[in-house]
Amino acid sequence: MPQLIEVWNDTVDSRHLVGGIAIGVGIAVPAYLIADRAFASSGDEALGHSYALLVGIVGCILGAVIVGFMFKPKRVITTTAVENRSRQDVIDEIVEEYGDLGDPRELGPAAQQEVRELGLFDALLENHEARAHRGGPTESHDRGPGAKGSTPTDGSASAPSKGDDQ
Amino acid sequence: MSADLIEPILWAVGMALLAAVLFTGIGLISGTDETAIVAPLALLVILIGVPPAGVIAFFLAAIISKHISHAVPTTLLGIPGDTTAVPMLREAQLLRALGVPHIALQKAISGGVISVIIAIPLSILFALVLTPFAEAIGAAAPWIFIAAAVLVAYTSKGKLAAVAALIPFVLLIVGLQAFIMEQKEATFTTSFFLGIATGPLIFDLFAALSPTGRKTMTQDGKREFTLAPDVRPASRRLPNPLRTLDRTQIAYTSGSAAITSATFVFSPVAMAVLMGEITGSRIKNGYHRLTTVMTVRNGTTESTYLAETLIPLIAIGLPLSPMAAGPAAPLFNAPPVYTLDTKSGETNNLHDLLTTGQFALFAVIAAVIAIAIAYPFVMRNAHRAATWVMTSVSHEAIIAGFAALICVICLYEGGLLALGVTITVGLVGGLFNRMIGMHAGVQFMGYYVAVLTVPAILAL
Repeated sequence: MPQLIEVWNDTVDSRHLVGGIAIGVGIAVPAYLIADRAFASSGDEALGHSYALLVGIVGCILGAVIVGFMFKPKRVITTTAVENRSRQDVIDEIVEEYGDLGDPRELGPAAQQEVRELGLFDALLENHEARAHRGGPTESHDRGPGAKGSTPTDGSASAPSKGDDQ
Repeated sequence: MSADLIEPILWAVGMALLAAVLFTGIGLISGTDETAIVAPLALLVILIGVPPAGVIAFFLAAIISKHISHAVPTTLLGIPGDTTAVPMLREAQLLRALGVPHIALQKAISGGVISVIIAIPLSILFALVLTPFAEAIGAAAPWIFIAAAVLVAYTSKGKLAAVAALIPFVLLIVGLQAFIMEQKEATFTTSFFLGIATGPLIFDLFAALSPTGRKTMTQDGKREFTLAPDVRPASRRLPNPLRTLDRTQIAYTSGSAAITSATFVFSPVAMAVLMGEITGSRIKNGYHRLTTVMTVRNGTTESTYLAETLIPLIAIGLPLSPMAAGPAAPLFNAPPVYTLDTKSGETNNLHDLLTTGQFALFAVIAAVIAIAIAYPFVMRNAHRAATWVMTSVSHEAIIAGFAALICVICLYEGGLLALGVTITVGLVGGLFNRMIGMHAGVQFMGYYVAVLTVPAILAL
């Protein structure tokens, strides 16, 4: 039974993590120390120190690549077709969170062309008119059928927000 | 063109090519925060002796290409490609739900390209306007920094707690610096930057070691990600941002790039949020609002980074912006190559080594190369690239790489003492980040408060 934990916003196996760090540090640190010693004995010390850093960083990358080959990602990736539900339900949910998506006929020529090419024109128009019938286009929080509950985004809505911006 | 410019230009072209290829790839991997990855690599480039032309071109090409490819995980997977991509998440997820994630992606990166084209000349122009006041700005720096630190802390998630936490954080740095001085008669910088940048990772590793901490981190099963379906652009022509965006989007992106080229003391994430809100409030149609806000926000991540790097570099020579205090810090201070004496304000860094004309030339070279590589690549291969990264690159490998990087860079800067400094700063910084909402941007400001403002206060 693997021990899955969340570290730095993604899932890892704790034993693989310990092994991975041991390999990464185990390759990069000796590489740096040996290179530093070797360059120091052969002349220009400051420059040799910098080249040793370069060797050390190559060691970091090498270690990461090896770890990458040894341990596979702990993620499940699914590529879904857009939605199983009807497009109107999806648009209703978006409208509930974001506000009315509006009448596509009011868009400028370029944007209207884009919506048509995406095949969204009819769906947006239908949704807009249905809303207009139900009580005015300004009612952005109008609850459409089946618009309760889940958000329009899927499970990844709880994506890692790292909270460290600059 | 004079003959002695040829060699620097070749350096600029070469280093920009290297950075553009490298960072277009790195940007696809989510979690590769700008500060944690751009700053150490820029430092490395400086330390191995690349001339100034190569250094500035490498750095600018790196941030431009990374901000183009970071839109891939953000729009296709719904996870932020890096810190500045966080403000784009909501619009990206809604467009994904509509089944048009490729539109979100194309709009975002086209906004980025337009923004680069506007921001480079404008930030250079703005730097020229500010140059006569450089001395006055330098003298006021200690007070500008503490004011900005408080402001940035207050606008972070932590609000007042983050402002109050500046006191222990600054004192920690002052104390560590004094101890290092006593032991080695030297000062460290990189170890502090690295500790701040990788703080959340270091904190998580400590938590994973502790039985109580591990309980809160346990996951029931593998984490699930839904990759949006691949929908390729209809046309096979060379991608053109002016064709991908409509006139309104071009206008709003250019406008916010122009504004954010001047507001160089504010946090890039804050500006991306603000510009998106202003734009969104002015566009009536909901669908159009979604795509335009995407465009403007990603554009702002490019323009803020460029302006916040170029203006302090050209006009002042001191790292007086959140960006210059973070990812761009090595361009100002990377002893022994570039130095910065915070007490006297004496500098020997890119500010002194390049003229404004050279900055402009190398910035344009970097921008052209980065856009030529990253933009068509992402427009065409986004889906394949995102799939490959998510299915093939394990998180263990990324963490192992970072752990090794921390060890090597610290040993390089100051042996085991430097490693201890990074772990200390990282653990405390990561704790403050996770528990108090004091992000790395606030902590970088805290570092400069410790080295600039504290001596000025004590000298009063």
